[in-house]
Amino acid sequence: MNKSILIFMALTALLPATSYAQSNNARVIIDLARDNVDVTTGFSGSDIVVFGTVENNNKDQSVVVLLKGPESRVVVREKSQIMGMWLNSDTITFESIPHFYDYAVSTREADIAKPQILIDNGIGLNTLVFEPEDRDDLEDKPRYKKFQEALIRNWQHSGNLPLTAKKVKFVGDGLFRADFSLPANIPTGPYQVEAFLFEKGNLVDKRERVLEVRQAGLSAEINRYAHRYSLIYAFVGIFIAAGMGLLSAALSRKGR
Amino acid sequence: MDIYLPVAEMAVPLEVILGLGVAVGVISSVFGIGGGFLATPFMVFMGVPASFAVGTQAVQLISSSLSGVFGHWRKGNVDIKLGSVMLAGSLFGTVIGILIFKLLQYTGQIDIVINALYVLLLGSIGGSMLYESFGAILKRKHHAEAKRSKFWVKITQGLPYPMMFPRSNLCISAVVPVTLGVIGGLMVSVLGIGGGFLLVPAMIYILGMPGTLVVGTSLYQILITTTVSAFLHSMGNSTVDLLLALVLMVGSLVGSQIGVRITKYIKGAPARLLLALILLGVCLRLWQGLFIEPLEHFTTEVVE
Repeated sequence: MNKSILIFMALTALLPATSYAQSNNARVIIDLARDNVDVTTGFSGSDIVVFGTVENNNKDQSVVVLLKGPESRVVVREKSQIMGMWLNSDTITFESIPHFYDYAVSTREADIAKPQILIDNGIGLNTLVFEPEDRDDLEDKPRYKKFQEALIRNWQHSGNLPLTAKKVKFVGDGLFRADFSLPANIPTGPYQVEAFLFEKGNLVDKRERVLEVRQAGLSAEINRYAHRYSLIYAFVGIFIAAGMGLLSAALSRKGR
Repeated sequence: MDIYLPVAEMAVPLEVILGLGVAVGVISSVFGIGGGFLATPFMVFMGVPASFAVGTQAVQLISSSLSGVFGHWRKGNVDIKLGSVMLAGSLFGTVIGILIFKLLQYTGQIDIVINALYVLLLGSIGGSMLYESFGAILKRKHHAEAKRSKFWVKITQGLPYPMMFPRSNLCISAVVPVTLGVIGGLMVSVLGIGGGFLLVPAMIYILGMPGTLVVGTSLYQILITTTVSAFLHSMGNSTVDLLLALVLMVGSLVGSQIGVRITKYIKGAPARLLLALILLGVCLRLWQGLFIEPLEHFTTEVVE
């Protein structure tokens, strides 16, 4: 937390100097409390704090901050009752869905800009592109829509997609913060942090940062060995298990 | 407290996994069976992908079968020849099982197939055990063994490749133990269980092995099979999470010590009745997942 307070203070200190420099051009600047999230064996989710300032802050402006995870292929399956049993009967595979998406806004979404402008900038849940792997899945619109909604619903439930937009909180003269929380089941990789400044419905400035989410420490080592040195990994696993088995046998003999 | 599984890339509550390990340990030392039938479905309930549950279970099985086979080995209760003939079948079964597993994963039916197979296995074994132990408690004796043996003797008589197994004092076609081995291997690699609870009665009733040798021999066979399976799962699929396996093994180490101390109070028919009830309980829970309408009809899975 100390680090974030420092950044907070640094940003506050910078504020007067920069606002004099460019008085006509409104600008948005952001920074992250932490540049990376370390996923260790004790990881159970993480809070992400984005700080930022808006120069020449006025009533017509609104700020949007979004956080987007790496994209992955997602299979959605529907269960239905076949001969009394609930089996996976139908499926659609979607290409490149961000495994995490959340965003924060400073004013009501409708007041920021026209829906089309928001969509063009990737703001809001309805900007996520649900492209099926098999183009034929687009033919049956209601079915396609049903699967798309199911994916959103399931991921909202697990915390990977937001129910509604979070709030960008202005804490002082042009200084704001946006709080996000990453659930424990997020994938590792680069996360995109984007900040938008709108004025009277037009985009006037945009900033991007990268948040690196990666496994660290013992967790990272185990993962690395499992995938890259799987032969060693397999032997280590077998030896550990054999050791535990012998220990257990020895203890049991004593216990009798 | 949550623990993040580095290979499965998800968080699970540590105390639940540890508790599961303890339960597996108690069951395996009290009843002499692996307890994998409890661990694998339970991990799947918790959201661990079936592939990781089965792959990790293969590692945990090494430790439980090794500690089991150790005691039997010392007493000379392992028929190496018969066990090795079974192994020929079970190694083949393991490789086939891993291919079947991949195929089912590809078609997206893996969880359901595992679920259904467990319901079938646990239901039939649990049910027959319940029937048998009730009978035994009521009559204080059971005469089912000899009859069944005769039935299987007739069936297995004409098969080719007869072999002598001096340790078990048997002469039987090699096809029979190899077939049992294939089934055992399939159970290890598809269901993540050693299959002792199916193999042990099968070896008594179908092969006609002496009861003293059965458990040791099946454990010997399971030990080698699960080692190979663990190897294939980690080399081919990267579906072994050693942190998960370690927590399970520590739990089961503690559980087996508890089990060893309480085992003198639970014996014979009442023990089998208790085991039958546990098996049926797990079966019922899995049955629900298969036959009761789920709240959410859709499931999502991230691939790649």
